[in-house]
Amino acid sequence: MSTDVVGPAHASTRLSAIVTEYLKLTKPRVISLLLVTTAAAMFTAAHGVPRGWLVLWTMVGGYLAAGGANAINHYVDRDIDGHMKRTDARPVVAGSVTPRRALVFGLACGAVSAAILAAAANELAAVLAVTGLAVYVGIYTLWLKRSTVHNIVIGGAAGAFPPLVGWAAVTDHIGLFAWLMFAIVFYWTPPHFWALALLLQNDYAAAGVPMLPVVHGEDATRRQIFLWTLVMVGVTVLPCAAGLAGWTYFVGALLLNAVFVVLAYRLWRTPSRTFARWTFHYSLLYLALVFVLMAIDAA
Amino acid sequence: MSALYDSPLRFVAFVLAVVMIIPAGWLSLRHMLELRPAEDGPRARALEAVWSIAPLVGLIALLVLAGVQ
Repeated sequence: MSTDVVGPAHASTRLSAIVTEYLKLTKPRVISLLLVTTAAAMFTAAHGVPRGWLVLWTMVGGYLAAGGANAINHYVDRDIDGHMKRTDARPVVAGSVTPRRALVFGLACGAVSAAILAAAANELAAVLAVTGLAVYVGIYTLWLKRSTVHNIVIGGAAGAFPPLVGWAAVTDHIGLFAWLMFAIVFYWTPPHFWALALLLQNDYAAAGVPMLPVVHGEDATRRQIFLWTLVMVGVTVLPCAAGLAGWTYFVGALLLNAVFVVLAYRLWRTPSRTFARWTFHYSLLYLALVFVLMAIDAA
Repeated sequence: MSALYDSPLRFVAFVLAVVMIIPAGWLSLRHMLELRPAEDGPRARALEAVWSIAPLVGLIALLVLAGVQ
């Protein structure tokens, strides 16, 4: 009798725990920002509000592509994740999901993503999503991450695919504006990621990952963050230079950029974990707002 | 669409982009090349140089594309 009562509840709890572990494999917090760039690209490409179902399915497809890449990353990096406090509780390291299942799950997510995007949007969006997955796994995780300080610069291209997917889902082609969105994410990634690396450099050193502060020290990293922030500022105004965005975006982007430059400058001139933390957290808000501004400007 | 010189917004944004990208990109590249370990072999040094220069080449291409759009 007690089994009848407790059994289903226990099974439900266990199922919930399994779902939670697989959800963790996809790194939902990281993906949320990627989806903001996808959605903003869709709204910008549509010059307004795109079809609701198209937005929904593109978000689902985009989530699965990025989530699949992240799951495969858990599989590939399982030997070093245990050496880092930030990652030592990940499902594969903790043993709650076997490496093989993480890999199969990641590949399945990628395949389902491609199918959904091809059916609900178009083949171009599907190809772009799978290419982003391949760049993240093949170029970043397997090749560059453990071999060069430029790992997150070149590998950052993977994170720049979501706006291309969003744009392609609406227009079935990729125009200059879409490539400029790609560039904004690409040139935003180094100052964003190096600020995080300053905070986690001991972790990266323990895992043997050649992040910039680990290999060349904090001073060089802070200087590079400032210089790349200036480059990023120039890239963010290129949509206006190309005649693709208006004054609303230009003025808003200038304000957002001003704060970023001040933070990066203070981080460069004042070695401080606090400024590194501020720069990192602000960079997240910054990217989301820059893309929202684009969508508002295009409406 | 108006030409670069006919639109104040396009012109201002283009000048700002050039002023921000070229000097900072050059300083960043020079700094990264200075940081390369002397003990690296020629292949490793060449590869590091490629990774350093590639993003700048992309930037120049974007500037040109934005300017001639």
